[in-house]
Amino acid sequence: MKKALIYSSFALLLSVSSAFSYIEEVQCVASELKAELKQLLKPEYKYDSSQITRVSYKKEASQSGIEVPLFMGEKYRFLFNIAGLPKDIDITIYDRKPTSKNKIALFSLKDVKEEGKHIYSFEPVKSKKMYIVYSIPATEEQNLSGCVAFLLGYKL
Amino acid sequence: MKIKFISIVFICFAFAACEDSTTEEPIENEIAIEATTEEVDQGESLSYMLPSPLQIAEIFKNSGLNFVGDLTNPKEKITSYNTKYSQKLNFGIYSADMAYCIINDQTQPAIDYLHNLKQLSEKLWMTDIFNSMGLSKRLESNIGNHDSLTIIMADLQILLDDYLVDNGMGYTGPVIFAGAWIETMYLGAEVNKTNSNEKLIYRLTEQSVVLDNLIKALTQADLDNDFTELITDLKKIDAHFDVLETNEDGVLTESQINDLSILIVQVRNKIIQ
Repeated sequence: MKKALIYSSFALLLSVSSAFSYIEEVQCVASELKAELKQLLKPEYKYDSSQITRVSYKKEASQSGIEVPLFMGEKYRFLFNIAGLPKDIDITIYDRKPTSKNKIALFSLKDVKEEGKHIYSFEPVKSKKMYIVYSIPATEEQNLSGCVAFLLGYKL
Repeated sequence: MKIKFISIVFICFAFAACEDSTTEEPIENEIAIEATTEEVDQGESLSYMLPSPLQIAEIFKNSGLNFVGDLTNPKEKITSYNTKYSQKLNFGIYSADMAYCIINDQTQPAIDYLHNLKQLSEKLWMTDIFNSMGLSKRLESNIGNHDSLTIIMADLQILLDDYLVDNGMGYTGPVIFAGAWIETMYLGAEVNKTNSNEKLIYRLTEQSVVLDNLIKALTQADLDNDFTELITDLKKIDAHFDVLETNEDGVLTESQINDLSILIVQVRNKIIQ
């Protein structure tokens, strides 16, 4: 009886500690995720703006989006850091609002995704208002969440 | 160039409607990937990016925004901003004034405005932003070095953005930006009165795209109806851009810019009073 209690306490401790380490693994420290991206602006690009998007994985697939106004004739660099995600999502950049039938996907993460790589960039040829869509897959896992950092740089 | 702008303006207006009816050809030289993902529901989480005030000021500068003295908000007026709301808006106003001074190599006024920003940040409990990067010393040691000063200003922007996110104050960002946007538009329109040029008018017109996002971002952040009056004022300015639908070249005329300027001055006066 005493042994069983010790074993079950040990198992409980192990599961609690692994749960905590998992939470730590997917914790989102916005400034750290963005700091990594900021380094990739140098030397030509300057920081313009950034956005941290919290991602909650649900039983059904879901989406969230960002509208990005760009000024005509200027150069931009889009940077994404997906290190804060416990599970892959897709990132698509459209030239028109996502509900538009005439939209064109200018960038899709799934087309450039590499194992172990967590930073991706995109530089539009033409600058106009753009739309980023995060497509979050369905999951049966409960309380699964993370975040993705987006940072925009400009060059005049 | 103008045709491209019409497209952007059209997209902007079309976004307000339910259906986009543009039939523009795919952008050349870009890889057109077939859109296969499901459409984002309009009501689903959609957020609105706002550009840095520094970038807008630099674009204006490249289009002829020269320095005209006495246009900026006097630094002494800081003592009259006693509510959190007016402090946030005027943090934006002074940020734009600082950017205007930096891009025109007016270092001493830029440092004065930096001190104002520091004071306002203390009132808004954002002191860490200024303490963490030794801003004053960096500014003073880079007097006259235009490029370094713009980098310092860009660093301030990223620290501010990080701070607001890390401290759950994301709703404050659009309010600060509203102040900065109004001030930059005011400076642009006023300078245009003394030194009118097509490029600057074009860039002032282009800001309709940013205003669209600003109104949406503020509306999202206005959970307690604290910004209703500001949103109403900005919508009045936005309505002024409706004339672009009938303008042949998609750019505001000289007289339309002057009318816009009157509206901007009215809103600015409310903020800085």
